[in-house]
Amino acid sequence: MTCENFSEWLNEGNFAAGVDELPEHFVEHVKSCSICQQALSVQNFEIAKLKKQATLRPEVKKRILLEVKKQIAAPQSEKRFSFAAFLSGFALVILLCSLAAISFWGHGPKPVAYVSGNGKLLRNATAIELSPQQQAVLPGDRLHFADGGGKLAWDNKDQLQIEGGAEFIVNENSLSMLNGDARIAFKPSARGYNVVMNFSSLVIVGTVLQLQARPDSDFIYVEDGKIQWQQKDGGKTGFLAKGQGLTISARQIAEMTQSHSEESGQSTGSESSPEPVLDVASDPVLPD
Amino acid sequence: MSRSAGSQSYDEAFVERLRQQDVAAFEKLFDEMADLVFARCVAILGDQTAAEDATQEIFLKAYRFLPGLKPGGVKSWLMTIARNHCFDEIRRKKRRPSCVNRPVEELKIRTAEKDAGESPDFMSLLPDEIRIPLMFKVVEELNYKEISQILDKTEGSLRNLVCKGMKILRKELDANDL
Repeated sequence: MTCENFSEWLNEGNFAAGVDELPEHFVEHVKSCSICQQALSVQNFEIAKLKKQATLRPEVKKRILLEVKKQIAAPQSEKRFSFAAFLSGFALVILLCSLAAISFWGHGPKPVAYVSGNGKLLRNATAIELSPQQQAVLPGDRLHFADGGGKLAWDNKDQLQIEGGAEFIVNENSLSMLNGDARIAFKPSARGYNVVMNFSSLVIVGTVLQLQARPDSDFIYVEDGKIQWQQKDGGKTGFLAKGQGLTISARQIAEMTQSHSEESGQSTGSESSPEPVLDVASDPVLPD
Repeated sequence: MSRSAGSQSYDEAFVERLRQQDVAAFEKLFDEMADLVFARCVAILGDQTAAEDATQEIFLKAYRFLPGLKPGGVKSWLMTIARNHCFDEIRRKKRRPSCVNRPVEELKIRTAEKDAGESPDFMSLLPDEIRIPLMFKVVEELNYKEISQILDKTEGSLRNLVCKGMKILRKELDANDL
């Protein structure tokens, strides 16, 4: 056996954790060849790097187990299929739909979410104090969280925790942040929901965010997880990962709009506008 | 002993407890299998955050399917749920229209300081068709025959893909001086 044979063997997609795991015919050679030993250890180093990225951190493992146990304890919605159960379920769905329709036409709109915590719910010029008890949020209601924040649940499940002082409108699948500073922790179940700010919208991929909504800019900082962001009016888009922050301002959107109209020949003079550069926040801002 | 040493095969008494949805037995199953399930999710989805969510959903699904658990092969049963869940997730993702047209790296953004020697995200560097067999081979330590059964590809083509993956990885490690 030669170094060439061994190199070929490695290049055929074979792996060995150590000399002892090699096919018998290589053992003698590799034990006495420092070059082949080096090649084997380089391969093992690469494998270790890959394995590290597929390792579940203990704190995450613990968190997942807690979440699974919590959902197990909740009433189960997914059961084994049975035709009789299907029929009775179908009948139940029709009954519930009818009741919902009666309730909708008879008693007004259905709640979009439920809120608890510290702050006010503004409905038809009336302010309702929030409390630790869940309160229904109807379409068009405004939520004003005072310091300390609160919890917001869609479909009666806790979906996110808001800290800080900020004003929101809750929609069926999204949360519009109107102003203020907030730190929002989304549970994995909130995946796919949107946060709409003044100048951007964010798609949640299970994450913890710090947000500031100002009259002239939005600031987004991702503490944990990942989000997909997009400037309003179909502008720039991209991902922000853990530890990344971004400021999107009205000025940039105005520049971009101008840039687009110039590109489409509506402007005279300039050949091509420079790509607008998004401002960078110097430090994440933690709400008090 | 509820588990035979060196493999994830469980004795009938333990499987019966699982079938009864015994929470302690389920927790033990989670403790022993969560890492493997997570590794499979990372392999298929190529994203750690998505893999964490998928692991949670897979165990929840597994718990609900426990009463129908057949004797033997708990590991392969769970890993099949994991594989199906992840491939469903990919299909769902493909159906959703993507609005991404510019990677965030091209923008001037502030990024948290990386720890010295921290590895780049290899998962995002490897295309699905390379990453999945490579991770199955090196992380799950499956042999080519097993991978070929899961992915329905020939052993020869899988070897090629794994080699390509290792080359990409080596290049990236060299470029990052790791």
